[in-house]
Amino acid sequence: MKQNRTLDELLADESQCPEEINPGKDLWPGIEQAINQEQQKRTWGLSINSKIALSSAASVLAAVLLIKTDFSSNSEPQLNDSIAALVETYEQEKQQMLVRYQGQEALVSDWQQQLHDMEEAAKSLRTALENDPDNAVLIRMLGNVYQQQLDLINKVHAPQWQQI
Amino acid sequence: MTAVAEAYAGEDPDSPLVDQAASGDSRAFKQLYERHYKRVYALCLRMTANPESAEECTQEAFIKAWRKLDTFNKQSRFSTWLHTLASRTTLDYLRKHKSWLKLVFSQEEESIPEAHGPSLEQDNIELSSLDKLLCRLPERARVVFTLHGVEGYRHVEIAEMLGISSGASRAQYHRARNLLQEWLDHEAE
Repeated sequence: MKQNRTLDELLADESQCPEEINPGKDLWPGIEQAINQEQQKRTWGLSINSKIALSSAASVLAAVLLIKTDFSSNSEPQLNDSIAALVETYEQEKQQMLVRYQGQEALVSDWQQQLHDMEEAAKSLRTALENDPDNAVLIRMLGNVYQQQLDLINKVHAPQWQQI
Repeated sequence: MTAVAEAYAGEDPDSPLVDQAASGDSRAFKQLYERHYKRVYALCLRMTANPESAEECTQEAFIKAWRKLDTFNKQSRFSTWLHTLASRTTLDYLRKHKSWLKLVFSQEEESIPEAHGPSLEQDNIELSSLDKLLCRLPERARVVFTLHGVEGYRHVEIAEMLGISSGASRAQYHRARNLLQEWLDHEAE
C-alpha cells in the first residue's frame, strides 16, 4: 500500500503532474491556417453552387435558343472563326491548368463533377452559337462559363495550409 | 484534474466564447485555444510520449473542435468535450502508426523499457521526473494510465475508446503503476 501512496502523492503534486504543459513552439498559426482554409472552402462551396446555377441557367437558355434556331434554319451550322478561336484559347488554357495541377490534391472532392456541369453548359452554348453565331448574349455567356471553369480549377487547387 | 469525471456544475465560463466561435468568429476560437491549449498539449504529450506527435495531435484536436463546434450540445463543459475530442484524436493518431498496429495485433507482451530511456530535454519541453517516467512506459500502459490515472476517465470509458475490455484496461493501469513505482524506488536508492 505504501507503494501506491507514494505514486499517488506524486500524482497529486502539481509540480510532478501539472495540468498544463507548454509546447515547445507556437501551435496557433497552423490551426489558424487550417481554420481559414475551412472558411474559404465553405465560401467557395456557396460560390461554386451559385456559379453552377448560373451555368445551368445558361444551358436552359442555350437549349431554348437552339430549338428556336433549329426551326428557322436548315443550313449546316458551324461556329464562326472568332468564336472558334475563343473556344480554342479557353480549351487550351484549361488543359494546361489540368496538366499543371495533375496529382495535386483538390480542396473539394466534387470539383470534377462541377467542371463537367460547366462543360455541359459550354457545350450547349456552343451548339446554340453554331445556329446563331452573331448572338452577343450567347457569346458573352460562353466566355463566362469558360472563365468559371478556369477559376474553379485554380481555386480548388489553391496551396494547402501548412503541414502540421 | 479529471476531465470526464468533472461534474457539470453551473455556468460554463467558456460558453459565451463557444457561442461566438460556433457562429464563425475565429477570434473567439483563438481565445478558447489560449485558455485550453496547454492542458490539451499535456494530455497529448502523455499519451504519445513524443513532443512532435503531441503538437500534431493538439493542432488536430483544435481543428476538429472548430469543425464540430456546432455539434457541441452543452451537456458538459466545453473543456470536457474538448478533452474527450483530444483523447480520441490522439488515439486515432496512435492507431495510424506502426506502434499502435503492433499494440493491437500482437499478442506478445511488450518488452519492459529501461527507466533511463532517451531524454525529452532536447525538445525544449520541461517535464517533471514523474512525467519523464510516464513517457517511458509501454504505449498501452501509458495510454491507459494517462486516461485513468491523470485524466480521470473510468475504465469502462477507456475500454470503449480503445476497443478492449474493462479488465484489460485495469490490468494495463496496474502494470503502469507497478512499473512507475519500481522506477521511482530505483531512483530513490
